[in-house]
Amino acid sequence: MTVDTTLVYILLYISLYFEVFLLTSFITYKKQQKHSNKQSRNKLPTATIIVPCYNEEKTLGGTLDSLLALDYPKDKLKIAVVNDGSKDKTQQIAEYFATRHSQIKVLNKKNGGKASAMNLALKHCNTELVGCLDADSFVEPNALLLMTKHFMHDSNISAVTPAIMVHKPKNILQLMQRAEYMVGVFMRRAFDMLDAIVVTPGPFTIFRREHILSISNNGTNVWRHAHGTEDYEMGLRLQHNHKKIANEPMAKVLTISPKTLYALYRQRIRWVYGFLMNTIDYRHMIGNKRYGNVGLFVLPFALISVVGATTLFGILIYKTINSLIDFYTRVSTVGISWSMFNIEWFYINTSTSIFIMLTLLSIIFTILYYSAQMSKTKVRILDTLVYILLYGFISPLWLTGATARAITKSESKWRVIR
Amino acid sequence: MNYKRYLWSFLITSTIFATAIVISNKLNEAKLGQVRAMEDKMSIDILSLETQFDLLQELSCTQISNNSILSSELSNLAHKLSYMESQRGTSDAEVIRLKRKYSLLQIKDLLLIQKISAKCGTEPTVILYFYSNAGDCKDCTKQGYVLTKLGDEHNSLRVYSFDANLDMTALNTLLKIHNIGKTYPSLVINGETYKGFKSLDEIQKLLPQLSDTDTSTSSKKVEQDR
Repeated sequence: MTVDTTLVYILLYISLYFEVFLLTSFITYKKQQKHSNKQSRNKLPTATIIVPCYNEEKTLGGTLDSLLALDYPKDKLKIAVVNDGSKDKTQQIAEYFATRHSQIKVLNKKNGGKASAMNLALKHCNTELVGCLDADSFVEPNALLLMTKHFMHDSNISAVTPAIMVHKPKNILQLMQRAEYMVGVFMRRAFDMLDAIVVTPGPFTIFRREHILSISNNGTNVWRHAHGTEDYEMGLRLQHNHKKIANEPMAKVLTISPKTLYALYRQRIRWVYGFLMNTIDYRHMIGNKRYGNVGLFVLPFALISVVGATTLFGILIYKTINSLIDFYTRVSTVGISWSMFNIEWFYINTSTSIFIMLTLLSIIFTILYYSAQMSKTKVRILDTLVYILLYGFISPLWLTGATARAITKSESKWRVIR
Repeated sequence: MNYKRYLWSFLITSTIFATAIVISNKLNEAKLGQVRAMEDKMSIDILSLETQFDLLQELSCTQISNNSILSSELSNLAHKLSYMESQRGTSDAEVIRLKRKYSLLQIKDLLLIQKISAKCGTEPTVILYFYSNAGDCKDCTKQGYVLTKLGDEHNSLRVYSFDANLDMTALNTLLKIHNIGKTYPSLVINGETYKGFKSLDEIQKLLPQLSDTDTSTSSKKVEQDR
């Protein structure tokens, strides 16, 4: 067995172990989950939703409309729009909404990034819960109510994450992302069951204010720049302080996903770079059993997945180039003939890796089925096919790009906010 | 912390992996079995023809041609062996064993064809191709494509391909007879040795009978009528 084949088998084994672990955890816990949906509206906690924005004139209105439509007592819900030095009509739109809805408060500041916008709003907030909604996302009316249920049932819970889905996909790339986000719905739920959620996403994660203040220096600098991924750092910090993060898969948040490959690449480079750098910052948690499944499972496997996918991508590129050279040699030597395409069963690849890949694919189908079931949506065959055919080939682009940036420590400066 | 879950996942993953290995091995074994069966059939065909030839010196040439091994069988077996080699690696013991047997069968078939030629006055179109896949022959892949194409298009052409690194006495003798040395690819066409790559056109010029005789559709008829 050659070195590259051995490496592929090791990575396939690790990938399979990861999926099996999550699926078995999910199936065994699924039977134990029983929450009461009955709760008195009088006892609901007060909440502030912060909407940090920078040049969001196109989507801010929709975001605020969705927040105003939340099924939550108006006297218990406040909305803080932080205009982070926008150069477009974001401020006018925010103020227009504020004049018509007393729940909304607008804060203007010089541009300083999402973390600084969140910290400013937190200073003006005195509610029990505080959340964030990026100005390119929209919540479903029952989302907040479903999420507060967790805070009311368990006083140890510090944060609750929603199910994030793609808003009105229009092209193949967005269909692929819709399936990817559906896998994310399952992952977040499975990690919740393992007490191992490490990301508190910008689109509508709700926090217990007291808890996040307690893990920050005297309540200042609660959100940190954190290499451009403050939501990951916040999740890691909560886990580091042994705080509980839950997930509510039926609380749906719709987000606008990048339309072009370049925009997607830029977004993911930032995510993966932030993941790598923050993981390095919290490296003492890796393999440390004090942090439970976060230390022993999530962080090691997430790191391996970045390194593994990058390695597999390298092998794939090498093999593809070899095949293309071979094909070119053949065509330039003897031209094209039908004998090149032999369909006899003998020539079908029956290597072990093919069977493992088929198993991995069937697990992904199962995951998508459970995601759809949990979030009460349907499995979309087209999305799934696009995801399976495209994702494996294009995701290594940003994985390798971000790894290179992490090695050279050149942070993405493409986005100030979000 | 539930360490049992880690252990169970390990057991399930290992079981899936082991099952995939077993299924893959079974299917690959079936493929090797197919190659073995083809070699056995060829071996029996050659032996049968040799025996017929020895028993009945007066055997009609038409009957001999009808019983001889078709060049398409040779090329089909060569394709399959080449595929198995690409899948299992050049150092796989079973692949090497099958290649050795295949080489011996080719030599036997070559000798028999020469005998039949002498008896019946036929002039078979034969190419001996010596290659190396030890990484020291950059043109062997190209030469293989040229010969495959010729073999596919002309069923009367008999291409015998030999991996020069198989280290078999019979093969080494053949290498010596044709003065092959260590230059690959090497071709023996009409009894003459050519060292280095030969293109489709160059081979067709050396074998003009190919251009005015058969293509794959008409070749079987030509072969059977001989």
